Amino acid sequence: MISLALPWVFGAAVLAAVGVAALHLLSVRQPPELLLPTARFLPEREIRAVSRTRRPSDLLLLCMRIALFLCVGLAAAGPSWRSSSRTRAALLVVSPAIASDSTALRALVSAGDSGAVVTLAFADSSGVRASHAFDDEPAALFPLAWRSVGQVLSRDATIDSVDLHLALSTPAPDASARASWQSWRAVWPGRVVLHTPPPITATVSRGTMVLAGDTVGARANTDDVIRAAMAWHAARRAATPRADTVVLMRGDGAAPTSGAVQVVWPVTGVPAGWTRVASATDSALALASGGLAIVGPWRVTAEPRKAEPRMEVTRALAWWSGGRVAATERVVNATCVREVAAIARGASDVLLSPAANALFDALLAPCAPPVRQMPASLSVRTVDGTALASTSALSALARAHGQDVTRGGASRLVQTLLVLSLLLLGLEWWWRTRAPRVAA
Amino acid sequence: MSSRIYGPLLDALRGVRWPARRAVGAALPGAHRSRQRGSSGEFTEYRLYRQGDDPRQLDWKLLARSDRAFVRLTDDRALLPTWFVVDASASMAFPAESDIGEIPTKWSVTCALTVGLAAVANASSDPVGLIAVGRDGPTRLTARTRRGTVGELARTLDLMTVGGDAQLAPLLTTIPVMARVVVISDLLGDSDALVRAAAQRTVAGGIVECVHVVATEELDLPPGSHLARDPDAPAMRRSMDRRMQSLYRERFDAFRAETAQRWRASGAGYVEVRTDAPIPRLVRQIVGGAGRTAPSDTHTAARR
Repeated sequence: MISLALPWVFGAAVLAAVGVAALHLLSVRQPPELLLPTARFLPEREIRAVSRTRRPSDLLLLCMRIALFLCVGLAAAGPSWRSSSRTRAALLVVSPAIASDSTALRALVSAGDSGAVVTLAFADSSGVRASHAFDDEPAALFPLAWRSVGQVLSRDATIDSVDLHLALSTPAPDASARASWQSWRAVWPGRVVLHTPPPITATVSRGTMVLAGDTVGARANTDDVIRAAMAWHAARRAATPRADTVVLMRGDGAAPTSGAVQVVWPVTGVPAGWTRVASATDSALALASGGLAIVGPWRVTAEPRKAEPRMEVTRALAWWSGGRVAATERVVNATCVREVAAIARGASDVLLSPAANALFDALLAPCAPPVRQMPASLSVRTVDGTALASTSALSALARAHGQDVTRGGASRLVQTLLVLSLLLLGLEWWWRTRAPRVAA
Repeated sequence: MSSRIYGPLLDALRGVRWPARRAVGAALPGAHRSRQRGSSGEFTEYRLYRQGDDPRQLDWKLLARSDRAFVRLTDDRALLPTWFVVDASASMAFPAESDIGEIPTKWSVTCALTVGLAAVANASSDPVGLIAVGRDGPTRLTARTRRGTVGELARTLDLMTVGGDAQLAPLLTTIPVMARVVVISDLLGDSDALVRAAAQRTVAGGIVECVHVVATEELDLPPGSHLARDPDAPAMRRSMDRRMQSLYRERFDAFRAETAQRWRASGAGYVEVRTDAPIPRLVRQIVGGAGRTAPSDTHTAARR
């Protein structure tokens, strides 16, 4: 079966062929001869009779012209062969927080959609993860899906639908709860399936926050805005799972090894191992975390270190509005070390605003084990699972993002049609010039 | 003679007479009024005897009654040789023969008219001659009065092949002046030269009659668009449609009117005949039209 990308072009060619057939019913010919001795009394004037015939003139020429129009129209309409069999495909976009080996996830996807052709796409590449580790961030996952859809469609010409599977590293509430989710989701023309780890079950307990480290330039435990904010948020999160012990390091010294969660937020704004950067002189910056942005008198001071493979897992907790990572989490010997490179200039209660909730929730959250591989049990949830993504919509999405989508056999079909059109054109010209002219 | 074709025609024309339009000058006695005055004809008037008159023409009874000498004058009758100049050019074969019925062509009507008129003239003991110009050139039959002349004329016409481009004007000079010349043609050839030749004959005292044969199909053209071709001039092709037909009719009518005026102005008789009319009626129309006197004819001027 042939499918057309531009069916209206073929319709125009059909109309043109109908017009040619109508013209063949009109014949312009010389009128019949009449012997008339008094012909000299007729005015001198050349006329040709236009008459309408019941049968089209020169049937062979008509057939060649109709075939020519149809071939050209079909070639211009973007044809592609479609097998009668239908194949569903699955595009699996894996969050950067998940290790590269996701064989289990691939198998789970294949098992869920029997016969689906699974294509894997990782939102992770060496060097990118450390600086742009948008774990579970829709802004990273969906563009990767757009960039990969052309590759999926080109794999098999029988693919007529593609499901988007997102493997997230965060249990519920997951990325679909974020404010930007709907906007990104609306771009994908089809079903989206979320694969998330099971929710972390932790007892609600009132943890102890230990503030340790030297405070530079401020009186200890009293005038430190960060300490006050940490304490305030710890009290606010009484009903949510949180770490039992959070150690806040405000000095530049080495972090203690005890404690499940260590928050390193130096007064200088440069955690150990980070690269100092020139601070911006803007009056205000936006610090984004968890879909919320804290606009305040911030100073950008450092960039995070590059992640060491197989040694630790680093994920970003907060970003500057310019894209630099402002806070990271790395796991060192079962301890979560959360480093923040930001300075809040002057006294301000912006850290106590609801915009800061997501940042401090991330800093005070329990230290979850790194998700290297998706566990066997997954929470699979279909988001807005309605219509299947049609190949034409996906092809348009791919082309809109600069991808060349070539379905199997389409180029060969167009070439064949063009060659056939050229042959018909030559044959029509030869027949028309060779045969006696009986019609105009 | 083909009595099968012309028999009914000759029967219909029995008793028809064709008097000359003017007094003739022939010497042999015949049926036509002669310009000469004699003593054996019909009494017309008395004239005073003059020195030199034949005494045998004196009316003795009147002399006895009136004691005055008068001479009896009578009109003589003379023969009038009649020559038929027949046009057998290609245009006379119109309309072409059709498989549907028998459509009279101009040539068939011409032949019938010639035979009919010849029979009428021959019945008055007038010599009848023929000059026909066809594809093979002119064919001439000397004027005779003997029995069988009309039949020979009919056979000659039947054997003629219509075609070519006939020039009739030069043939008029080969015919004696004191003869009646009947030109039967469609006048689509050398019409101007023919009129001039006819005018010269009438001035010289001859009698010229013109029978203009017009086909009905030339007046009522077939509907639709056609490419008309002149059989006399095969290179001439004119296209015609409904709009052109009205212009054609205007031009053809003007030509016929002008032709009639020119022939009559030359002193000749002119009759237009159509192919759809019965031949006997046409013959009567021709011989009846010959009774009109020409403007130049005055029998008082020829009195002696």
